[in-house]
This record gives sequence, C-alpha cells and structure tokens, in this order.
Amino acid sequence: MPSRHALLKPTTPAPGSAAGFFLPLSFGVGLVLLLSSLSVQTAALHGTHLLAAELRQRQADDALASAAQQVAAQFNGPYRCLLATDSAHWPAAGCGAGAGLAPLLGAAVGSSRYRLMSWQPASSELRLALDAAGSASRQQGVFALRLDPAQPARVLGVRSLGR
Amino acid sequence: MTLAELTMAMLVFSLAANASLHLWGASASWAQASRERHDTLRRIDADLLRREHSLRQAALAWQAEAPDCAAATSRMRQQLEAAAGPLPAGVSRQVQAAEAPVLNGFWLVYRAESDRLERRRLFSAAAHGLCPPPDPDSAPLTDSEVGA
Repeated sequence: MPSRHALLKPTTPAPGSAAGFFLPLSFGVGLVLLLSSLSVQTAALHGTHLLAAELRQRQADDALASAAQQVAAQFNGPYRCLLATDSAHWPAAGCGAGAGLAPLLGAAVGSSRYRLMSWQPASSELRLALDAAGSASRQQGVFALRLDPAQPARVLGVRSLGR
Repeated sequence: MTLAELTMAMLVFSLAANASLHLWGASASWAQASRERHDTLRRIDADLLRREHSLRQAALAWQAEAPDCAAATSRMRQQLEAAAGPLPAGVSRQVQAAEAPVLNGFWLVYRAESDRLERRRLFSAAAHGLCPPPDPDSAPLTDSEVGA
C-alpha cells in the first residue's frame, strides 16, 4: 500500500525518455544530407565524363573527315587510276612505278593515323578507320565521294555518311 | 537531455550540413561548367558545318570555271576565313596551311584555352576537284607525289 506522500507526488517524465533523442536524430539527418549531396556529385561527375567522351568522339569524327579529304585528294592525284576499281581488286603495284598502295591504304593525318578499309566505286562509298592506340575499339567512318559525271576519274567532293 | 548531448548533436549536425553544402556547391559549379562546355561544343559544330557547307557550294561554282589550283587554293582559304556566325567567348578559330605531305589544303582549327578544347579539320582543294591532275603522259610519279 503506497504511502500518502507517494500518492501526492506530481508525476514527472522518466529522466531517460528525452535524453538520447537529439544525438541519433542529428546523426540521421546528417547522414541523409551527406548521402544526398554525394549522389548529386556523382551525377555531376558522370555528366563531366559524358562530355569528355563526346569531345573525343567529335575529335575522332574530325580526324576521319580529314582523312577522307586526304584520300580524295590522292584519288585526284597519283592514285586516279584506282578510282574506277573496287579496293578488293586493286593491283599491289598501285598506279605504277613508285606509286605503291601503302600510302593510300594507311597514312597519318594530323596526329592520327587512318586506314582505308574499302572503296566501292559502284556506290562511291569510302570506308575509313582510325588506328586507335591502346584501344580495342576502332572508330570507323563512311564517306560518299561525289564523282564528276563528265569525267568519272575525278572526285568533286566528299560527304560524310556517318559511322 | 543533457547539455553535453545537445552540444554533441549540434556539432554532428553542423559538420554534416557544412560538408553537404560544400558538395552541393561543387556539384552545381561542375554542372554549370559542363553545360557551358556542351554549348561551346555545339556552337563550334554548327560553325564547322556552316563553313563546310558554304565551301562545298563555292567549290561547285569554282569547278565550273576550269579551276587553276593556286587560285582555287587561295579562294578556299578566303572562304574558310570568311566571317560566319559568332563563336562563343574564349573560342578562337584559325586557318592554317597544311604541312607536307598534304598539299593545297588547310586546317580549320578551333581552340578554347580555358576548356583545353581543340578541334581541327582538314580541307583540301584537290579533294574538291579544284586541282586538275597532271598530264598522265608526263614524267612518272615519284614517292613524294604519292605521299601528296
């Protein structure tokens, strides 16, 4: 049976109920803040990497377009005898003495090296590839050469058809 | 709740909030830089395509005039240097004569120093049919001609 004093004592919250509430709360809120900002930063980093990849792709497109100009110039110069022939049937001697095929099949343009993969006169389609140092993937580009209808052994322009 | 607990909670919260604010700020500035760089790339692309197109159109007209290689090469340089749309701030455009073995050609070079960005594309007068080939009955080809 409780004493009379004990019954009259006002009820107060237990001393441990509020204690220990703020510390876990601040840890939780802090963790949420840090995780959200880290995820935003990851997204920003991913965007930066995508942009770098986009720049590399455009530089590769530039190198391929430059290579196509160089090959078209060669077709209008020392290799004009090959313009009417499919690259699969080119003679090893190229266009005669001193004009072997090697400089046409692969050369440097700027700081890149390219390789002529195929030339098909029927569709006027030229396929080039970049030699990628240290990379398994090889960038390729397809170009259409505009031939002179009055003089088929003459290239009048180059147009990119994509990769 | 003790004063020590409250102090510790405030310390933890303020450290986390400070670090988070820092990361948000860095992410926002990266995102802004990426947007600007992407815009720069897009505008360089547009300028390059415009010049390529106008050069192709001009070459068509020159081809009809029985071209002389030297004159056509000079015209080509002028065409590439001709003013087109404005470039983004900090981007420069140059036309440089191509070195051997490429003859009668020019590099169109775009540079943005602040972004360490460079694009360069070759345009050759010979590739546009503006340099008539030498007479096939003339002297035989040499290795240097082959390289051109």
